[in-house]
Amino acid sequence: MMTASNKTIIIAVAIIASLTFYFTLSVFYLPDSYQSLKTPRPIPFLSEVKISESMIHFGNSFDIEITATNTGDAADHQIVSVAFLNLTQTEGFVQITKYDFPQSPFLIQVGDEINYDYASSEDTITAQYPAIEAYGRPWKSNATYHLGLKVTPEEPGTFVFFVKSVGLPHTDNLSHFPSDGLIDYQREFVKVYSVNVTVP
Amino acid sequence: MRSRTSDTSNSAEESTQTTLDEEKYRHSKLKFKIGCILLSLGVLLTSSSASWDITNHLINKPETFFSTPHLLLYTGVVVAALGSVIMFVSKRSFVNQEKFKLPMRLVVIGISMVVIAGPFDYNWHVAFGLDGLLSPSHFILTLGLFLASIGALSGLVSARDYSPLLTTQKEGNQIEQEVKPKQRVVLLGMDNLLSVIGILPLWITATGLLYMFSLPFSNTQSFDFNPDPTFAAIFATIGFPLLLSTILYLSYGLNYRFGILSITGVAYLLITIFTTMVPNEFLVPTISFYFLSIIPFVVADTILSYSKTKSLQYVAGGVLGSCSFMVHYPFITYVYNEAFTHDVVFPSLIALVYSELMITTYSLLVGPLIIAGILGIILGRYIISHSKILEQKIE
Repeated sequence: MMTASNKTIIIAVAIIASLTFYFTLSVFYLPDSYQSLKTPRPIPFLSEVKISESMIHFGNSFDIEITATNTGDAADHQIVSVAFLNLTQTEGFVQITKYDFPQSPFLIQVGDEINYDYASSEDTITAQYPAIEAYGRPWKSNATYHLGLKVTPEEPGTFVFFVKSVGLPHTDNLSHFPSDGLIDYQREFVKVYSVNVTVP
Repeated sequence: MRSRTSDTSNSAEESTQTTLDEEKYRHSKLKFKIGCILLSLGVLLTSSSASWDITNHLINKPETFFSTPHLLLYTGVVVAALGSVIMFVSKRSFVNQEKFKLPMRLVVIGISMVVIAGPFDYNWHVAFGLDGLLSPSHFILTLGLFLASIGALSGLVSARDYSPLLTTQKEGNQIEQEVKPKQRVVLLGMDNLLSVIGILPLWITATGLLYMFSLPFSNTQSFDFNPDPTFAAIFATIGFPLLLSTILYLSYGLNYRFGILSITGVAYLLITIFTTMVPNEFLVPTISFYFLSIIPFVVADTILSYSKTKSLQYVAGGVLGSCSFMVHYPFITYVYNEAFTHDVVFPSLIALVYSELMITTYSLLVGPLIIAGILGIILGRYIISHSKILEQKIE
């Protein structure tokens, strides 16, 4: 028959053993195993960037149509950005004509604080020119979305705009599109497009 | 001079009247209990849905008010309000109303704050756009739910089985009652389980209040109510283990039975799993790790149940405090990340960032966590020993 002291000893041993097991697992083993968990690897891809005109008269508009997809793992957040170097603002000059992304577009104006370097940290940088960011949060694997814009240049000359796509978490060089080329002020690769705006 | 027959007749009438009064009392008390249960369940539904809503905002950035978490949240408010009405109506019939005054006051104040917070929140949205976790309306709402849940819990405890001795009705319709001397608590299964239902919403709403002042989810276009990262880390290091330990000690101290603390802890873990991990596919593999926290709960339960010495109770508090960092996963990741690692915490990387924090910071935090856990036991003992609603124990 078990005495009270035997029972106490058994309970004490069981408590010590279970706590040892719990803290060993929680503090040492599991953190190491979580470090080796698969990190999602989104691969953004712009399958189509169509510009309706290569030359327009000042006062007219041209269209941009973009088809974007994620050919990798699901992204927590994937962005398609169209930035306008020659505009002072998007209002009145850029109109969204087609949009089927899960979330509403994010409009960046000059002076806004925005992430840079593929959101590698929480630091921000001041926006130098306006942009429209279409995004999905989340953006599932192989999901495709479309963005259509009607742009009216603010002044004659060469109208330049940048297009890029970024998948977050930004795991490697395939998590951004394009993967090389010109680097913008956000220290991110961009594809450069231009339209000649002539005086009638 | 009265005849014997007359005396016997009067005595029978008084006995019948006493039986009817007791019956009415039991009926009213049952209704009151039902009101408390509904209120507790309503607050539990609201606060759990709020936790799910936070997760939903982190993962999906919803742009519509009409989401499932919002629907459940407001359903919980309706259920809680209904429960408070039932409590109020049934309380009026009680013979001894004194012990129910405090619960009712807390419920009335709490529910009033919740009702006011609704339109206040709407107007805040209209004026300032999307708000973060901490905003004046959200704070009033959560504080109101917290007070209402205290009221419901104290109502449930006050309405535990109790046998007043009603003396005969004297002239002037004055009914006196005598209370039996304090007796050792005899455990009743249903009341034990009801205390779990009463304590859970209190725990979750209090956790919500602590998260408001520690999570960096309150920076919006109009206002930045994010807490300073260092303050948030210190606040979380003291607040969460203190709360965890106090609440679980209360769950034990209201019942003095092995198992209730563990059941309360498991229920909390399950709510966290379903509201913060299941919706995020990247956290699903970590559920089994999270559920391991049942071990320190059972250990604390065992220590408290099998030993009444203060020092061992403090050991139980230390155990509970030390597991606070694990119990408050995954949101705690965001708190300490702001202060220590400054990584961008995407929903798919929570487990990774958490594991980095565990490796780099847990050894620094465990001492204060243990101390706060011990303080929680001291606080819990103080509340139990000084709580008037616990003066009348179960027969």
